[in-house]
Amino acid sequence: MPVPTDAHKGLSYSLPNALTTRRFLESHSMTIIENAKDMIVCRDVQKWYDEFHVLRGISTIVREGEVVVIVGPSGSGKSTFIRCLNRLEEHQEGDIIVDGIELSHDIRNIEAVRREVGMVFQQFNLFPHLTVMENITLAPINVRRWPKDKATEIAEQLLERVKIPEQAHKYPGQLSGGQQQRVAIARALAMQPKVMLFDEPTSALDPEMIKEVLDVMRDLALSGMTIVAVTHEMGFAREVANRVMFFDQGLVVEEAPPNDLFNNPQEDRTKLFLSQILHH
Amino acid sequence: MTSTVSAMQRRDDRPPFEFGYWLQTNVLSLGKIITLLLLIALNIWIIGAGMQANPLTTTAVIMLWSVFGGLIAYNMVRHNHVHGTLREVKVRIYTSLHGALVSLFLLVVLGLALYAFVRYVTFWPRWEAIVVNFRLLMVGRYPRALTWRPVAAALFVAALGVASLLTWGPVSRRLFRYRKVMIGLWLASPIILGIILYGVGAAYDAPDAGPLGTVNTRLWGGLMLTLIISVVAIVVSFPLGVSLALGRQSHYPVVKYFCIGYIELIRGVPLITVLFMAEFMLPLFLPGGLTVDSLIRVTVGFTLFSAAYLAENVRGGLQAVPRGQYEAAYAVGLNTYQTTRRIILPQALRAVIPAIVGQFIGLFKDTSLVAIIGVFDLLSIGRAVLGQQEYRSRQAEIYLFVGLIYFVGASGMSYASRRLETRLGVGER
Repeated sequence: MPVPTDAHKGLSYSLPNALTTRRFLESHSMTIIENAKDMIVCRDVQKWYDEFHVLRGISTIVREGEVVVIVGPSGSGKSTFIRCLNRLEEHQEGDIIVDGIELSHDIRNIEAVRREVGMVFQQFNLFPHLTVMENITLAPINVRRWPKDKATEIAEQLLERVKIPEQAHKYPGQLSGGQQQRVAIARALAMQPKVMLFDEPTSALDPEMIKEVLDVMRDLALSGMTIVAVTHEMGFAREVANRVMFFDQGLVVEEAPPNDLFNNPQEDRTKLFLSQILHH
Repeated sequence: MTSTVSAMQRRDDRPPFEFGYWLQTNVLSLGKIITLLLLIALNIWIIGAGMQANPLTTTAVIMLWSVFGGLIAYNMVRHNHVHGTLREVKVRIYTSLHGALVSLFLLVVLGLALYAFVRYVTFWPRWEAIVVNFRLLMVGRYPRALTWRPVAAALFVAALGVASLLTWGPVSRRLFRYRKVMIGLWLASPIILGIILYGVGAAYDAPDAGPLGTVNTRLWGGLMLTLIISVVAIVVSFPLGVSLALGRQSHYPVVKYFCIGYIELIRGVPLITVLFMAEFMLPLFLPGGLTVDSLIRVTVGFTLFSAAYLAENVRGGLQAVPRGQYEAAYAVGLNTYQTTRRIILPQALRAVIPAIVGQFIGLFKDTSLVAIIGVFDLLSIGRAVLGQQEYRSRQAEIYLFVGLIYFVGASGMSYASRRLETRLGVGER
């Protein structure tokens, strides 16, 4: 990814540290992101559940390396939208193009997109009959056709990265919620995806386990992964997001870099929502 | 620490030697086992003699005896004279007087039943009926001179089973590399067994027949036939039933409604009807002149019948798998086949092992219905033995023997299912 050398010029504040430099720059100037290629393109995406118009025309572009956080009240369509991005839900109108592949009825396209897009669920959805190691290596072996040794090696590295290398041969049922969610992240990463989708990854966790999952997500964001996350972790959004999208009633009400959106919302609906989640 | 102290105290409190206490403690020794067995034998002998002399009084005595025995046991346990395992029994059974009474009643019933059975087995039966007709019960009218062939087939299967246990079992990791050979042998086994049992070339009684001359399946019978029908039906109906269950969920209407129609049709008619259809109507549908062996027709009937019920059991398991499992599998890029094979079926089948095994046990026992279309399975051979002049009054022995064989088969399956459940239960959430 091209990084303009003069991107930080004109900034008066000091930069926190080397790792977060890039993110910091991006969240304040968005220069780098604008030069990157389009990873996800949505044009007027609409979806109905029977009569209920759940997505009423979402258009956005997620650039390579960008971290987008989606917030909004329940029933606003944010989960449905993120699930449309790898076709767990089918949209009825508009286009979704992921990494240059259009999501249509063609199952080959859908499978191609799913190979490049990792997803982490609220309820973890680990495979309970497989060990942690098998959970992680299943897709690389069966979909990517990697030899078992290679898949195992990469799985070990990933477990190292999510900080639970010692749990490789346990079953999901023997792990805590936070550990399970980290395994789920490792499982998604094992396919070496270009985009990671997080659908409320910390909502089903006990408070003390949220941090360990957010730490992993933060590392991932800082490593340059393209991320679309539905989450209410405002700290996470402030720290690593390039852009926050506020959803309500199937529409994007407002989108902006996190500091702008949280500190200086333009729309009344956004103000109301923020006042409710920040002062409860 | 505290437990050590109390154990020491207990040891100090213990009287030097007291017969009743010695018997109650749950440390098993050879001396104790022999003493207990002698006591039981003595009791059976006394009760047996009493029963023959005066059954009514003896029964009353036994019941009173049981009640008092139970009360004594209850008291003992209550006052903690009994430790270890028996104490757990106490917690389970004697938590209330109500429970104690029910347990006592059941123990008395059980004791009487056991007593009657033991008495019968020890004093009455004449097993010649079975000894003389043993070959008939096992292989039916299979030619006497060729009995070695079913024996060889049984040995072959037994050897294959032992070899499989060694290959997949915990004995040695090294043997695991022969698993492909084993799978090959299992796949080839129907042909090998077919050659051993049915034979090749001329009929066995033709002048030019070799040692493997063909033996018509009309001569097969007994346990051998029961096992062949049930094993083949179980093995073939399993994949068939799973396919039907999956087909029932298919997005393709033709597949879906074919499966639904098939399952509902078969489930709507009695097994006997299916067997009659297989026996008498199937030939009408086959092209002229083509005949299918009666044994094959019956086995096909059983298989098709079993598959429909199995499909419904498997469907229950499929519905128990949460939606999130499909989503997670699709999200990591698995296609529909891989998702079904690696994620959904393993979980669905594990959930319905008890139901499936229950159904297989039912199938195993239902094979006795083939008698009505003239196939001589174990039970009908037993009835044939009863038709012999000299064994006409040996019903009890014959049915006991036949029942025992069914019981061993059925409880073996039941045991295997529990083992399988425990093994697959690892990591259950």
